[in-house]
Amino acid sequence: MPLQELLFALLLEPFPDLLDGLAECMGDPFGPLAVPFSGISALRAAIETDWDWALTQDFTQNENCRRFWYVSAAKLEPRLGDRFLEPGAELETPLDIARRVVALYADLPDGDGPVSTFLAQHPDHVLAVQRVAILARYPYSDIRDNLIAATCRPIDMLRCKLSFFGATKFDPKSDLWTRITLAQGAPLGDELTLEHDDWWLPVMAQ
Amino acid sequence: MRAARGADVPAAQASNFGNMLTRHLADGRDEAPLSEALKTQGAIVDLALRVEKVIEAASISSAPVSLSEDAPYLCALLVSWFNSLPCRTQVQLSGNTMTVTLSLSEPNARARPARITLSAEFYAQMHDLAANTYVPDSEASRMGGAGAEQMGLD
Repeated sequence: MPLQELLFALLLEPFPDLLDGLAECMGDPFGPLAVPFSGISALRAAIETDWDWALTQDFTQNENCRRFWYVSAAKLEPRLGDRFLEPGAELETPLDIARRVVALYADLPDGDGPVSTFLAQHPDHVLAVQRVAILARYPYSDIRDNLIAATCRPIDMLRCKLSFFGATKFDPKSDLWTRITLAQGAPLGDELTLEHDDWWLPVMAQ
Repeated sequence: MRAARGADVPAAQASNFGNMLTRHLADGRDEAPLSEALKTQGAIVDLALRVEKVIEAASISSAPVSLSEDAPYLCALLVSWFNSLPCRTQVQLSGNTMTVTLSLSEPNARARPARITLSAEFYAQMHDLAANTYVPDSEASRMGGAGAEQMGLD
């Protein structure tokens, strides 16, 4: 697969006049185009089909909800806390998607009916309904793991995300951060010339 | 989005409000209705629910949906909210009544949004509300931050 992507890139890069303009329309200011559920029954069925792994989690167990993600006031950066030892869990960032879907499933009424009527009574479940709807249409849209479990390792998600940016040589220093290499072999500022276009993804510095 | 969360709006509705805010301002519309909604308890949740009901109706029938809103600031925000949806949207406004047609299977036309400029007052309002969502530093958070155990080694 990486070789295939490399081949695509090499085929595309020589034609900036054709391609550069496409960057203007690559942004998505609207988000995913999820189709609403026809009713409570359809919503329940989608949870049972796509979130079966989440329904097996017991969130009454402390270890399954020990972590909470938050933004620190000091540095405005995302951090992980221990819900049972540290203050601030009431301000947690809503990455507890699995727990939210399980709570939604538990609160769904028997029978059928409009989802909007249910959400009018339970506005805190809107996020879970949206995620279930999005996953029903886009199978790779959600991380299928409990991100607040004591066993959650942010480094796994970080490595995946960084690989999209072209990071190489991952050198994890803990479960929370890693050193990487970007643009290896690229020319330094004083080496840039108009003809310098042969450094694309070298495997080692020249 | 964070400003809305800081105003006690649930996460999804706050996120949708953020999308709407961007569209509203990028379309050159007045920021006063946004400011008013952030100050009014329940306004954003109510707007989100009304939009949700229209989306639900559009999933059943392709017929246009009519709704009315007497408060001008909420009327303005409803128009922007519909225009910020990911699907193709047509909104016709006549007085305090709007007719909305949604094509749920067709994506909204994508265009680079215009540059947004905020007044200092509105920026300060959003900044202060967003601050309600930040967790104050503690010894535990400093030690648990990414790279904390490596500080000073580089």
